[in-house]
Amino acid sequence: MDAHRTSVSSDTATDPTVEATGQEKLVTSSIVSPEAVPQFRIELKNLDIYYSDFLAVQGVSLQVRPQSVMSFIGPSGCGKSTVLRSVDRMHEVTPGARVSGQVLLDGEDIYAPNVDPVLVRRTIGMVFQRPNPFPTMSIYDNVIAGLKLEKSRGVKKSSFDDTVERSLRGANLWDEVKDRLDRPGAGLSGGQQQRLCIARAIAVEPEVLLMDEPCSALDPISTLAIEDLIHDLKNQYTIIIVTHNMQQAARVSDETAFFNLESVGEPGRLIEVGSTTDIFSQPKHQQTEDYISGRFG
Amino acid sequence: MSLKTDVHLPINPSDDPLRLTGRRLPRWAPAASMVAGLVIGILLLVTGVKILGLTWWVVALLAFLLIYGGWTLSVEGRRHATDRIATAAVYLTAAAAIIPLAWILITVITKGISVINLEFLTSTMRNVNPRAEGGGILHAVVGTLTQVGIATLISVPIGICTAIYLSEYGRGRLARSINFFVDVMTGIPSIIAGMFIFTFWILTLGFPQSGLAAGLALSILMIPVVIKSAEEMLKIVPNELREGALALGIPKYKVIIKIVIPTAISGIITGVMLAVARVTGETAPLLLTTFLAQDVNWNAFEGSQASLPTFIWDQIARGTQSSLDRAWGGAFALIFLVLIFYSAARILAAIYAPRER
Repeated sequence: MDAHRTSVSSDTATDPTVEATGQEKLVTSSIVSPEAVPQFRIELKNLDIYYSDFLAVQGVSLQVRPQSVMSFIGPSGCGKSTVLRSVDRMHEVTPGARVSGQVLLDGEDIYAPNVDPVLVRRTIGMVFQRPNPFPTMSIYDNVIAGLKLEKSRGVKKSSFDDTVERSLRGANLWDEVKDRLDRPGAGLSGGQQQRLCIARAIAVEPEVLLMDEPCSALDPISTLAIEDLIHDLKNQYTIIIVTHNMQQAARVSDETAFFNLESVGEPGRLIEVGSTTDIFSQPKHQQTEDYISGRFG
Repeated sequence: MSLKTDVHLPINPSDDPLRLTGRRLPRWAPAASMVAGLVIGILLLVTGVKILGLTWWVVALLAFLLIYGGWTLSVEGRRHATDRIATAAVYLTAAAAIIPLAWILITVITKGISVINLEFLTSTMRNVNPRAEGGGILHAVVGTLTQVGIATLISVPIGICTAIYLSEYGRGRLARSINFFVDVMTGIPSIIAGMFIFTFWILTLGFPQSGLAAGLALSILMIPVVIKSAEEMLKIVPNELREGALALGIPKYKVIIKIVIPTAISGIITGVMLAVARVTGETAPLLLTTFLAQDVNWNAFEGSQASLPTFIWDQIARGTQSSLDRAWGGAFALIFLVLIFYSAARILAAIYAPRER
């Protein structure tokens, strides 16, 4: 992990990149030659994101390494969640929403014309701000919802028990619910529900896990449980987490991306991305420093 | 502005203008005011004095409001008086809404229940002199169940699928115009639905009068109700559930079938059953599409069929005491049938409702 971190920071340090001036200058990834560094799991290339005609986010380019955690920070309305949702094609679920630019998953553009968004979402899981277990389903059925509702995956019923236990253990929830798997998922506490949603997301064995402020509705103890979980999950998954809590970003992530917008109505932009230690100790941009030190706005 | 209690603690609480207690009316004040109002009203009734030409109970009501409001105003102050008058008005209007309903129910039950017996339920009007005693409603019950059943079979799939389109897929002009037409259809008078089926199905296409024609007319009335209620139920399913399911890589049609509809199914069932109950009592479209019959007609596709509403209409028109009794019996059976539909809806809704425990 440390080796990763140092290599990342040196890459980003040499990037002559992230000026929030024009989208042409923001094409950063092409500068890094592919053979010099390990392949990226997720790579955003010059991504513009629209709601109908409104340009919400402009010119975002960044890379996420396999088995690492990247956090997105920035003020409300700067487009962090929008960028996150565009990574598993959830953005287009909103009517009128669209994207231009590229999102590469292991080098493959997920916005290519023949790509099936359903398949993208099976490879890239997502956990939402508010826990959203399916209210008509038991804890057990919630965990296997993604498998059961898609027969083409060819999972046999007998292996569901193993999947449920593995996923719930993976989400640190097994010991709390193993005796009441047939109870409704909606009866759990907020923190348990959120871990149930994480279990549900990892049950389909994605490569990437996107988390949109997963702790904002939770108390500190549940938050700690989720943060511990993120540390464990990092061994298997690549994680991008949106958070308003800068301590959380500092605690859980290897790299941090700071987004900002000049004013309301202007598109959000990626200001700076780099190793979390660098972003928090020696940010290159005044805006980043202001935001991190709380002198913002 | 803060109260600064640390520097402003009064020595004697009763001197402090900020104290939290105030003078209140006794608990029996509403009842006492009501009795006083009633006494005034009854006094006027007995003495025959008229105030502004108003009936005694209107005077009693106004007297109650005046006494109650004035008493509160003098003891508790303006805000409490407004509150108590508004509360009284809300209770009174609620009672005004319920009284006619209860009245109808009680009348139908008291007049109808004595007519109901096994013979009444199992016999028809065949070979019964409509002006004499005897006969029953079996043919009407069979007809109503057939026609409403046909209407339900037609309306529920169309209605629910349209609601799914409007709630989950519909965007832009098509969805807006469907919404508009559904709203307009909700307001169509039932006789117009009957006229449409009569001219189109029977006169133009040449089909005979039948239970099916009646079912078609009823489904015209039922479809918009099913669409509206199902759409509302689907719309209150939180979007987070749809997104959560989509994010798991579940295709949209499965998200709708397995997540959205099960979450809303309890409300959808209630809406369907209320729509069923609503068309069960329709009379006008049936008169145009299937008319009357005095015997059971098991064939829904040909020939006139009886039904409970048209049975009641027919019996009232006969004008003898025994036919009026049969009409009350039919009314009782009709209300009982609607009650069964409604109870079934409540039970099914409770069974399918999402649970937390």
